[in-house]
Amino acid sequence: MIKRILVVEDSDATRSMIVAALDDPDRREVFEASSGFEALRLLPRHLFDAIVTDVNMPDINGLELIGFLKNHPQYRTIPILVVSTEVAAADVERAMALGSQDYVRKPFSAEQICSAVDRLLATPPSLT
Amino acid sequence: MKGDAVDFSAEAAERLETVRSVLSLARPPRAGEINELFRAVHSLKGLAGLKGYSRFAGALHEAESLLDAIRLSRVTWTDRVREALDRFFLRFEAAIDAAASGDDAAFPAEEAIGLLSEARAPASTPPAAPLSAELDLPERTVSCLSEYEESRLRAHRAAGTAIWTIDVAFPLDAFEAALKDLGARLNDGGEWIATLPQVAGFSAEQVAVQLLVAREREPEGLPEDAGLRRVSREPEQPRVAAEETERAAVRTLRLEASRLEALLAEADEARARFQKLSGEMVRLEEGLPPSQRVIAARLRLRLDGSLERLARQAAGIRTVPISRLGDRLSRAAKRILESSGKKAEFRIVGGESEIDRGLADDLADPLLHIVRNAVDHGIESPGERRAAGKPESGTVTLMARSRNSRLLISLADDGRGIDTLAVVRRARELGWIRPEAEPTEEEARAFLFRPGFSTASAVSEISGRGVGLDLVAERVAARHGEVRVLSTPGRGTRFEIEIAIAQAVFDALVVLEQDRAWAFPLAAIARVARESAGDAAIPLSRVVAGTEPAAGPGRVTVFLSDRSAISVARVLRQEMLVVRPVVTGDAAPFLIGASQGRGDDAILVLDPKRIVRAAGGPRPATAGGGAA
Repeated sequence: MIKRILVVEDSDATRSMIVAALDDPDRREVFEASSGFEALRLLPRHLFDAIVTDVNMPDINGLELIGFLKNHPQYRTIPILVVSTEVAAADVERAMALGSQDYVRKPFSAEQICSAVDRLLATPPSLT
Repeated sequence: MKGDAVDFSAEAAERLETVRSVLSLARPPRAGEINELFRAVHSLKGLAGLKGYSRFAGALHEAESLLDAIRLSRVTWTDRVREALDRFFLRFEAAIDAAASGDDAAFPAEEAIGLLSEARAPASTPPAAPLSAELDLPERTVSCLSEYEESRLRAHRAAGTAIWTIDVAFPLDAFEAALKDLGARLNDGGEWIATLPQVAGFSAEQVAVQLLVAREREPEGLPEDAGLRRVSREPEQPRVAAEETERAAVRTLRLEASRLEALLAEADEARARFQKLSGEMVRLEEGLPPSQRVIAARLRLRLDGSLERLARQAAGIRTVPISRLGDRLSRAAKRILESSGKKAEFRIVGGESEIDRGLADDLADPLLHIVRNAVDHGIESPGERRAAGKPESGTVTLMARSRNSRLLISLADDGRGIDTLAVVRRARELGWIRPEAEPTEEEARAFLFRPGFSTASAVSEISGRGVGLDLVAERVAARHGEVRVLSTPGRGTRFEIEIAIAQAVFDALVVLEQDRAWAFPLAAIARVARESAGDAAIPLSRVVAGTEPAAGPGRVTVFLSDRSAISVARVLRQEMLVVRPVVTGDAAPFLIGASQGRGDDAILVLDPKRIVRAAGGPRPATAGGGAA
């Protein structure tokens, strides 16, 4: 079954790299958001199987987005993968405390991001 | 690489615009502006990393971490910081232009990083009481704040500014514009800190957010249905603003050199040991659940960062800019010129390169010999130069350049050059050549460095080049270096000294071949791809082990900036290595040095261009790896 994945990242370069890494028409459909707002705009339109998000973004940042998702009855079970730099280690910790499933440190390879997403999709959704 | 450089400079332009606009403010930048600056530098770093400019990325990383510390109130913004950033970005912008014709090797990364660390003065430690004690906010809200947002709230509380929440809802399609408009009003006389989307009020048509704002007076001009609440608890008592702790005066202290050396050696040792330990820790972390893994990783990264800064600082204490040596040579050249009636200009190129203090001391005398000879005997009299169609005033140029872990120093003059025939004649007199032998130019020049070559009578005859050159060769050899001389009659002479720098730190690509790890400096690599038949790649095993790799799929091609390529079994990782030079002579000219790396075995660091040369240049790839 084709999985829908939302990638939220404000850096065009990084986002395109993640999208290119995940691009596999037989297995995944990848959606892009360049800000927290765009992510909010896409959320009601599609059922996402996983969300990959940056932490440090202007306006609505990754933590605020994750906080929203984890409080929302419909979106709380979508597994979240955090991508971030070493500098933001303290924020990654907060993102994990909010209920993100995993994180990948920048810079990362295409293989790393793919295997992290595959792990995410293999995890059974929590029943709570 | 050229195309990439153009892309890079175009993509970097917008971020640099932000950098310039913040740095050119007449007043200290506001928190929001520092955050913008931080984000611009963060993007530049990412961009540089993607394009493979490791020197840019490394230096930008330092700028980013300085700005991160400032925005989190760990370091105070001062005029020194602004000046340091200014100078940092001047160098960076100059290097971008230079990079358009090649790579970022010309960027003085170490110097630029040095500028930043000098300007860094720690701020007083922030209080660590839980934020919920200061603000009437649910834990659910506080837990969504980033470290930066939290530090801004704390800073405002410390200054006695009131904190407010504003609940607003806007249609989804008009949201950004409406919020931007409101934000601008809130930032006028206050600071808009956080934007928290709310579950209640969210639909496909509209989104509700709660804004966190610091403002002395109650925010005005809000949309009619907006909910405003003051969340800072007690009435604000402005506290005494923390004094800026800039220590402008530079204090110097006398210290026994051996004690300092011991301290610096310990710093290196600590870093090397931690690098080893760190590899083990990463493996252990893999086995932890993600929530514990981030905590472990954060602690590890912080320690790694501290040790890296410690090692860099230590390296900075050990080195002096080459211009220091150049000034000394320049003064000597002037003195000799005054008594000789000749005219010449002394130039220094690349004077900002840093070299080891001990090495600078060791090189001072040999270089002085060469300068003296150049002025005394190389540079002709003004009349002679006019007759030869040269400008009356000659030039002597000292040039220094470091690459990987090697330092190249050259001293060139535009004088009359070396009379090779006279050198050969002298060597015959000394009985060094059989009467019938005809030495090549190169062999003849080698005689110059032999002990016993120079005598008073030889001095005038062969432009005095023999004086003390054996001493030069000896000093350089003691440092595992090489000295060469190139000369064209009538055009001038150039001496080149190439020496391994005691230790260098650079980003490297660690690869696997013949079941062991090797590394290439990242700066020399253009890109990496899965091997395909048309790659014309040289198998690394052919050069390092004299064997062809076993045929099989999954090999990886590492492309250099000149399009030549090397194939390896696998790419393992990217790592910052502390590389120490190894002495190999001609047996392995492609070996730069060795590094401890993360595992137990030393990683040999290779010069990819010399690997290609050692293999006899690029060859067409043979399917399945044929015989050598």
